[in-house]
Amino acid sequence: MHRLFPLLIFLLFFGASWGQNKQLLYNFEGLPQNLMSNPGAEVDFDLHAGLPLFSHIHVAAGSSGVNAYDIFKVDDKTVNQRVAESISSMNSRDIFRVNQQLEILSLGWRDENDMYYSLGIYQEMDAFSYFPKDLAVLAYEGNRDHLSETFNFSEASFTAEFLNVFHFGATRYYSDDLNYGFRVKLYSSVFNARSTGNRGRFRTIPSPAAPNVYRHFLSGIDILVKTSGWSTLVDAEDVTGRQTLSDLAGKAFLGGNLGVGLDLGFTYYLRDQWKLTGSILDFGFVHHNKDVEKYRYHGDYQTDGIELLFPGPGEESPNYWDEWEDDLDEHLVDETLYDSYSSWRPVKVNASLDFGVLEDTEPCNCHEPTTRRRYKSHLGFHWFAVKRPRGFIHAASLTFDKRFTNNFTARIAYTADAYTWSNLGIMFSSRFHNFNFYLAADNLLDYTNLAKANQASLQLGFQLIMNRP
Amino acid sequence: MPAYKKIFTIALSALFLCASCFKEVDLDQASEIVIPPTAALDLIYFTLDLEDFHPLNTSGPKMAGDVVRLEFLDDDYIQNGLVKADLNFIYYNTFTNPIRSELIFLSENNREQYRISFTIPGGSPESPGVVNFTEVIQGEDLEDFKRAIKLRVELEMFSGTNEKGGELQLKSKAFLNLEF
Repeated sequence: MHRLFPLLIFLLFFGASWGQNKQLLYNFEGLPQNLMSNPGAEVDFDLHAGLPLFSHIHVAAGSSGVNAYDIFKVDDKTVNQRVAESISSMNSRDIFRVNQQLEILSLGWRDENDMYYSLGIYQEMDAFSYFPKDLAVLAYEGNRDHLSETFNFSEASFTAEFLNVFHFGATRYYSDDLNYGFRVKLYSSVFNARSTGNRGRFRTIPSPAAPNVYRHFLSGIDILVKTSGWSTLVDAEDVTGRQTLSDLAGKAFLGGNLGVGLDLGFTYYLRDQWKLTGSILDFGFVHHNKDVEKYRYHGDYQTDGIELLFPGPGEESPNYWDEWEDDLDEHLVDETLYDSYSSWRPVKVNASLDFGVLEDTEPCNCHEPTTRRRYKSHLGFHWFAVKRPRGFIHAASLTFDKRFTNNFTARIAYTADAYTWSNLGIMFSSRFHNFNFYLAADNLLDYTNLAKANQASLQLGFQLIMNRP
Repeated sequence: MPAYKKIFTIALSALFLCASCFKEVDLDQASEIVIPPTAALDLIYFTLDLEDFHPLNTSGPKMAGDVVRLEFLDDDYIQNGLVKADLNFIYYNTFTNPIRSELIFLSENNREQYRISFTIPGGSPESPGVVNFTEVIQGEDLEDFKRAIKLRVELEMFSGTNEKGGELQLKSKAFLNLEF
């Protein structure tokens, strides 16, 4: 457990907050994974086959407002003082995020009409939450020191999902200038939980005019947590037992809640040196009608405590507590619902502008259907946005790619987003004969001490890439 | 070895050794983290007049009494998390007679677990007798308190020359210091 703990801390506090921003992979020539972030990307090879389970491994987790060093550093303060300071310093715009992807199967081939097809299966886990500042303060400090303040439940907003994605896509040259592509996706959800659009306020006010010291208000409460696949896990006698794992596997492979999605993308040459790309990913949804449980809590209530009525001699005291609870339950309704719901996937948008330098005039054994010139290095600008419950979260990157040889290419990227302005990432892709290996990591400046990092991500993979003779 | 391969090797090694770059922190502090909220909440309240007081017998003092279950005392967050309780009782007495207040916390089988006693001075509508009493319960007393599930309120109006009327009002609140 001691060895696992640093990893858990890493997952909780580090990693790209926008883990699906693959600025190191996007528009990176010569990698099949480029097609997953832009289905309209150019492909200069004729066949690829990922090493099952190892062709794309992606782990990222993060927190925009706090890192492990903030909490666990060694100084004159206690860890609890630092936790209190961290809660105080964060706000409801801060986010927590865990994202993980594992490519199970990845294949691609070019047909005689120059259409490049690709298909595969990948598993994804994505959890995202805004920091519910008011609720955190209420839970951590209580209401005693916050009388007359309003605690807003609308800050509670999170999504979590675990699903398999079956996909098939195609990309082709439309002209010397334009390459376009698409990818259709079938989502097979194993687990989903989401709570967005919550409403309600809690307030305790000193109330000299009221019959008691305070008056507590729960106003406009409407909290809804939707889940699918959750009750199976909760009700399982042994969550790691064979039956439970079999159920989960069944859901992962089209036996659970299903959905559909679409990726679209393009690559457009403004001139030989200037290339414009764009993509929209995961425009789709999952419909949940199996193993659904929704928990809703709604209503209005205010209380001054319990009033004693002092019955006369020989009379029974009323059941004050039961009556108070009944009144509470009548006004704040706790429901479990089982009807279906749909969850939109977090749609992502990519765009880039790429400028080629140092023309490469060497012949290459690669697919070159256009007359465009090739360049050994590229300067690029990349913009990424992902839709979250309260709107898009953006990131912008400057990238520099350099092809050292036909078998070894590297990229360095600087990324800025709403919270971090010092994210340097690096990527290597190397081919040994037809065997390709790539490794990408960002937030390198914090690699000397990951405890101080708010975000980082790691991606790697192995695959076969081939060209026809 | 070509320069780029050296770079590749070094970078690869650095990435896989990144777990060792977790410095200047003491993760063992995680076991010391506690969540220490203090809840401020209303307890009971009432307003009594002379009709609510009844003599025990023809010559005895006038009494009033009631009992209320406080089910939250049995909840896990109290049983496992309560480290200190400040119970505050504010009486306003416009009877001219002083009144003895006994607040008795009882277990399920009505055994006394904790008692708070004090006398409310007599007053008048213009100038009520006021008691603002706070009982701080912690340590061993807290364990006794946590065994309670009911509160019995007993009020005894001291005999006096003037029992013609008045009101006795109680407001009460609790500060519950919790640690999780």
